Amino acid sequence: MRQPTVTNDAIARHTSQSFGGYDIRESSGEQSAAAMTNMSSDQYPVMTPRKYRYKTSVQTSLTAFGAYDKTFLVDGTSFYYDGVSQGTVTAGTKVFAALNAYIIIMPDKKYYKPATDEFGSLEASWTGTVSFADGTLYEEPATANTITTSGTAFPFSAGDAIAISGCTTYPNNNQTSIIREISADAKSLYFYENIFDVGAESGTVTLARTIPAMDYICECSNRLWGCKGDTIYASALGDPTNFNKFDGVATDSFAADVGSPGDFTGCFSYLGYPIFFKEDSIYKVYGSKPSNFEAMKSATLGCASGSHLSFAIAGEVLYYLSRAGIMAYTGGIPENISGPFGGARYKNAVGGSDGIKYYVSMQDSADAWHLFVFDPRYGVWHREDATHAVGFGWYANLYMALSASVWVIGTPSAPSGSTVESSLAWSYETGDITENDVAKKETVKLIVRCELETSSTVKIEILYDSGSVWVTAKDLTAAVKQSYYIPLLPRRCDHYRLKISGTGYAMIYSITRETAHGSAY
Amino acid sequence: MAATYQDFTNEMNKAGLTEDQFSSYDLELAKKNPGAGIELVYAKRDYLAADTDSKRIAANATAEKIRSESGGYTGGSFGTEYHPTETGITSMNDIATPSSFAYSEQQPTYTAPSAYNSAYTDTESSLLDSMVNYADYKRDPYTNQYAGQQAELLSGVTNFKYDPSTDPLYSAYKKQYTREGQRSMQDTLGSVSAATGGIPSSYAVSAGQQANDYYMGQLGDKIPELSQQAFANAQSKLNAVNTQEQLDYSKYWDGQNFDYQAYLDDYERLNSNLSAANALDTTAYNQYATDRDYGLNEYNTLLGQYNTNRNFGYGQYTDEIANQQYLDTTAYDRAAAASSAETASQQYADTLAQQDFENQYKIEALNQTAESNEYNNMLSRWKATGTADSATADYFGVDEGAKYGGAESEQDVAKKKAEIESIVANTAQSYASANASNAAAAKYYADINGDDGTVSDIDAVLNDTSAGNWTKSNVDAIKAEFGYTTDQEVMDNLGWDGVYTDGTGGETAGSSSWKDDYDQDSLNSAAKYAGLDPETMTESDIMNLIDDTDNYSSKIINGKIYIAKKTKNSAGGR
Repeated sequence: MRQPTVTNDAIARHTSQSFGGYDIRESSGEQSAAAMTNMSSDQYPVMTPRKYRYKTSVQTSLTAFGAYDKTFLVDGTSFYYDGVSQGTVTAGTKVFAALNAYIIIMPDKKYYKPATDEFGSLEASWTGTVSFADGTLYEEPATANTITTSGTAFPFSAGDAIAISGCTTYPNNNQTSIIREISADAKSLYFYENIFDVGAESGTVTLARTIPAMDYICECSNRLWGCKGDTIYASALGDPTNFNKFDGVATDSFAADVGSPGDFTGCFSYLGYPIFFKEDSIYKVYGSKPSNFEAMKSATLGCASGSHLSFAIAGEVLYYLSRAGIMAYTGGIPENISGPFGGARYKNAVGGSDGIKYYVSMQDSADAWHLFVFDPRYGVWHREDATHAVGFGWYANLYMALSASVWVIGTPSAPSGSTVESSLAWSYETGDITENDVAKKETVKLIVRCELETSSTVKIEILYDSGSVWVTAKDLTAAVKQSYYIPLLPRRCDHYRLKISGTGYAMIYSITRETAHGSAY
Repeated sequence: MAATYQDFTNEMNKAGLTEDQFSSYDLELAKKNPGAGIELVYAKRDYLAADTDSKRIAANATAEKIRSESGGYTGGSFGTEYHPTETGITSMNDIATPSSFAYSEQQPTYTAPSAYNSAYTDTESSLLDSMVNYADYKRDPYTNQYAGQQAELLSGVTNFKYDPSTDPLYSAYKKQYTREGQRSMQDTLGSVSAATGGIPSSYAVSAGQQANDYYMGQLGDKIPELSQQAFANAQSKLNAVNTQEQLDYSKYWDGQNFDYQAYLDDYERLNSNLSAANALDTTAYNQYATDRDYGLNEYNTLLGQYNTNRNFGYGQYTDEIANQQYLDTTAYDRAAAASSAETASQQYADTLAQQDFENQYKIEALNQTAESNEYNNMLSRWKATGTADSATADYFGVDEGAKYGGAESEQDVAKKKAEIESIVANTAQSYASANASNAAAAKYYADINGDDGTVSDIDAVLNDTSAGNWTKSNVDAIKAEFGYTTDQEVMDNLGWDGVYTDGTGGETAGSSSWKDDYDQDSLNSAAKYAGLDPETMTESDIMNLIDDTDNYSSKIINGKIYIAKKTKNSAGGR
């Protein structure tokens, strides 16, 4: 008996079990997300949203944030340490550095010492009338080595390098010298011998211990490093209050100018080296003491101006924003990892890390803010939302400070007293899906395997041929892990996109598409 | 200025003369008396320039006068001879002796001035009193203003104990080592802390502290050195004070010495004044003494001049005596020399006679040799031909044609040989008898007899022996023995002047002309010493004197026999 020829009905199944990261390039396809919100690589390649955030504090006008043993921030004109105001600073953005017992606040040149709960200025100054005289040194009589006053006590310590100015009777005494000893009443300062012209100074004299006005600072090897313009500074060893000690010993201060064009745009301590960035170069300072400090230049993409807070180390790699995108720096030549961003350019980045992922809040060319997360383990980017972070900090959790609040993000353990965010809306929009077929096709069924947290919901939508109307395929509320068959009204198209969105935590393990392939017309 | 021998030589040269044209006597005179020598030059120049005999006689007379007056001799017609002038001095007893000397000039006298009276006696006495009574010098005592300091510093040295707290040097070192220690501590702390990320570890703190300790230890190490320096400093201070005290002490002594020197200067001033007074006194006395001595010196001068004059007169007196003695001695010496010359002349004549004899004998021997030679020739000729030719026959006294050989011819030959041998034997016998003691003649005879045949005639012999001591008696003997005559010219060359010089007379044996062979002065002197009468003495008498060589000496000089009596006490010469 002759039987009719049965032809293939051209329906094929295509399953996606790996959901890539954020990639806005045209080539992203079904393996990447052309757009996403609050997605995460926590279960990569399973599609999951980020974890819930916890708000730890509410601020009024937060301008700087840091964490080191505790969190500290500047809100308005107050400096808070562990939520307690410790002192007053000027309003505006700040840079912090933690040095041994100090928390340094620039550009205010202030410090806070948590151990002693001491807040003060890195600089000290005294003005009054003095006499230059013979005195003592190391309990022995000494000549021309003493500054004495009958006024208020000097606010200096032995070892401070002070600048003497205002001497008119003995102008040779206008110099910067190191205090060797101080009398018990702090009204006599003793220096090395024979450095002064002896006699009473008739005018008012100012003695000051000053530090340079550094734009960017970091701590490295127990020194406070900083830079401004073309100059690199380092404080005396363990003493961020002294930048003018040049005694010829290993604990001295250090300063050096570099000759390359442009100002420094940031600095960071990485792998035991203080590293200073310009937009086009990186200076790595070698050496262990001032006598052998040496700033070695690499002419490569440095830190973009305004992104000096973008530095963060994730997976032992230092990330920062250059003018060409986010760079991964391991001490040699930095690598641009911003390919998935396509041609997008960002600025004013602020970065942080939980040690695994790199979080960066940065502003696109339309001044819109984005919070991206890079997971070095998989080399994928995820976009969370449009958060404009002021700063990040790690203290048991990854803190993200906004101008009006402080959050714990990432994979947090709920800090005491914190408040979890009320809802979590997320979405994952694939790139254009062609099913590897340049001809027309009709997707007739979706099989979605997923698991939803209680009360979570998932919506599956489809967009044909880059249209403007998303067609809802299905709303899911299942709480158990299972597959859902979702029949679709067949529609002939060239390509299409899927968008999976939801509220609450969910995991999408796979999506299988049954597609009928047609002709090219 | 007295003339010198060089002046004589110059004048001689100017006159175109040479020393060869002067006899040795004239040259000796010129050396002793150059002025006389120059006069002789002029006389000889005139003699040579004379063109007439009268001028030559006049020039010769002038020369002879010079020789006689200045040299005590004459030179003969040609000035080449030596004829002493007769002085009459024949013995030492004839030499003049001094008699007593008398001087008639008045001797000067001397009167001494009055004694010296000094005008400075009072001044000198006063100054001397001041010096004698000059006060003793009194010295201020010395006070050491540093005694307290010296004692204190000395105590500090002897009881030295180092206290670093009071040592400024220790203070400086303490500051230095503390400073460097702290710098080292800081540097160590910083360097070591770099190994722990800049955070000072406990090791870094300890290392820094120990670096500081190291410097503190070095400060401690300085203490012995500083102690030594402090001790040296204490010693230096003590030395400085001691030095200053020594300076004070030296200044004190300088002052004392100055004062003492002033004290001495005052005393010395008195002494100088006294010396000045003494000097003035001495000057005055010296003036007095000078005046006094002037008179004395004047007296002494006059006395000296007197003595000089007297001595001069005495000198003249003794000079005259000495001159006379010199002249007498000279005359005596000349006579003795003449005697000696005569002796030599006689001896020479004897020798010549011996030689003449020997020569004559040689000549005879030659003739005998010739006889022998002729005999031999004839015999050889007879033997060779075997027949006597005319000459052979005549020679051997045989007939011409007589045969040689046989007893007869041998007898004839032997006869002739005996004849010839007889001739030779007679000749030798004659020679031996004529002068048996003349060994030389015997030798000549023997030579001739031995067919020497080298001497052919007497002239050749004479010529050959002209340098020998042939005497006239030798020649005479030879001539008499062999009958030879002599060539007068050869004989003249022998220089026997007066014997064969006339060219015609030959010898005049037996006449008084034998005296011509002798120097007349020495002959007469010898005769005088021998006690012979010059008028009656014979040549034999004189020959006996010549042969008496113990008492007389003789010598031939320029062909003249000089004979002189030997002086017995002339062992040392005179």
